[in-house]
Amino acid sequence: MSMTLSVSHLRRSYGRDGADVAIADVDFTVRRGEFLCVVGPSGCGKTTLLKCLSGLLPPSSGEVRLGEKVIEEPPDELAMVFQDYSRSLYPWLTVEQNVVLPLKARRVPRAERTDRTREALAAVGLLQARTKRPYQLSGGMQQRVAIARALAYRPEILLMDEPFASIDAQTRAELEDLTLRTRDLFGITVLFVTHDIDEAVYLSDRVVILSPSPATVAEIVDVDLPRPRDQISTKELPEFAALRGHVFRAVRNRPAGTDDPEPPEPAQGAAARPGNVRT
Amino acid sequence: MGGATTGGRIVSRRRGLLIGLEIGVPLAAVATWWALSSSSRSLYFPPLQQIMERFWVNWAQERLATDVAPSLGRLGAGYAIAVVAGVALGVVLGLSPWARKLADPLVGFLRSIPSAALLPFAILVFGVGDEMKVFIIAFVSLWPILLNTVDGVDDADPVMLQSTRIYGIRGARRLFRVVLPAAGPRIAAGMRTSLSLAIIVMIISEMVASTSGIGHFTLQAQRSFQITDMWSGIVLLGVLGYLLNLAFLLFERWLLRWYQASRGMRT
Ligand SMILES: Nc1ncnc2c1ncn2[C@@H]1O[C@H](COP(=O)(O)OP(=O)(O)O)[C@@H](O)[C@H]1O
Ligand SMILES: [Mg+2]
Repeated sequence: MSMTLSVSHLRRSYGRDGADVAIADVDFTVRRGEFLCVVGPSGCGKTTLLKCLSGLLPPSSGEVRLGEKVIEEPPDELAMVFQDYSRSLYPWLTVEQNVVLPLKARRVPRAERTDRTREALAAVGLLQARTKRPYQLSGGMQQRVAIARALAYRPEILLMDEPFASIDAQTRAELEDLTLRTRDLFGITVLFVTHDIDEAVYLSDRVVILSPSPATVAEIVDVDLPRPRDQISTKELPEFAALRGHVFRAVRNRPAGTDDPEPPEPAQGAAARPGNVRT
Repeated sequence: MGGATTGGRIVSRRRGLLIGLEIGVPLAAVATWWALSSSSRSLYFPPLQQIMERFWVNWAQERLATDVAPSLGRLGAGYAIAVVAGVALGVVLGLSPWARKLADPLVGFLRSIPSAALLPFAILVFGVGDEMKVFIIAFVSLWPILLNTVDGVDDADPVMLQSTRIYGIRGARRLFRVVLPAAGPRIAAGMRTSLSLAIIVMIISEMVASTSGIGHFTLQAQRSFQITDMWSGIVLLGVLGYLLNLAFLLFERWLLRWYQASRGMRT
């Protein structure tokens, strides 16, 4: 089964002489089979963190390990859903070909490839669209293709970078539950970046809260809500409200003088999702 | 809704007008030429009717195998070599900044040699046969394809390349399913430029040193004052150039339909 993914003293900077520090010092471990959410303000280095974790970007210092092995290239057992989903798809391939190509690279036998592709496309509600090309789909549909590609790949570790940001609320709830079910079915370890605190608490076993740029770990919150989770009853639990409030305060209460302005206080009332942090 | 329909009608009316112009203007030009030249006594400007008669006799009957076929064969061979070599080298240089650094000065020098300057050398090495023409057509056509391929490969979207890495897509699969399609629009642009160059160089090489070919025939006709024959050669070269470009555009549109559609050029 999947192995532990651990980040130790990760630092990453950009630009000449590494003048732009995106990640200052990040330390945490993703436990085997865990659903870990990462929240933090926009530009604090979440995407950079995922790219270092996946082996796409070399850390400036510190290291990322999968089990005992230091990650230098993306490992075979890892998949990722990119924040720039539309740029991560191949516009010259159909939806189905986009999903199947990684399976070919992994030498999955033909019949199984087809099954897994159809199954994943059906799960995200895109079976009808399988012969279309990405540019014929809406942004949300493109993102679902990227998600189907990751699911069909059946990784041991799944990294997701704000995967539901451009998807409508109804579909989003369905995809959240699909991700949870897939996780249970295959025992996948999931590392999930989001700017939606409700979503983070609903999905995760633990939430890692990052400080504003350059990122450090501000706090790690245990989410011991019962599983399986349910969109209605889980969110009605008093513990859910308490956790959401806790995480929200931890994200908001950051040192003054940061470049990301305070989001305007939403009007009183439950309809405005108080968990939404602008990114 | 009403606005959209009106808009659609305006667009389709405009498109109809454009297509009409595209067909109508050349037809009008030919008709004018035909009418103005019909009573011509000038040695240099024979009536178009006579030119077309010679055109038919020369190109549909007598010289199809002896001149048209060799010309097209040289053009096809030289162009094909340029495409294969240009894309292959371009991919290597596009993928490797190192190789690019090493090759840059040499490529810069070779591509700026005017084709005419190469003729004496090509004749010396290859004689006056087909090899010389194929070589010089290939040499001249190579550079636009090579340089565009390098740029196309180098400009590939980094996020796309990252997802290719994440999913372990490597080697030949990466090359043929990701790198080449991504560079496709640039490669096609290079091939289009090269096709025009290839036709020009084919004609020049046949005029300078040859015993067959449309270019050779056209120059020979001029030298022996067969002006009507000369004109039939010029017309054929013009028509060939036009048709080859048209064929290329159709091929490009089919091959890159994803690109044009994603850029909103077609729906
Ligand atoms: N390729 C890059 N080159 C230079 N700076 C970058 C690059 N990618 C991100 N950054 C910078 O690093 C910081 C963190 O960015 P990112 O990881 O995308 O944050 P987040 O995903 O949390 O919004 C930002 O200040 C951003 O401008
Ligand atoms: Mg990001």
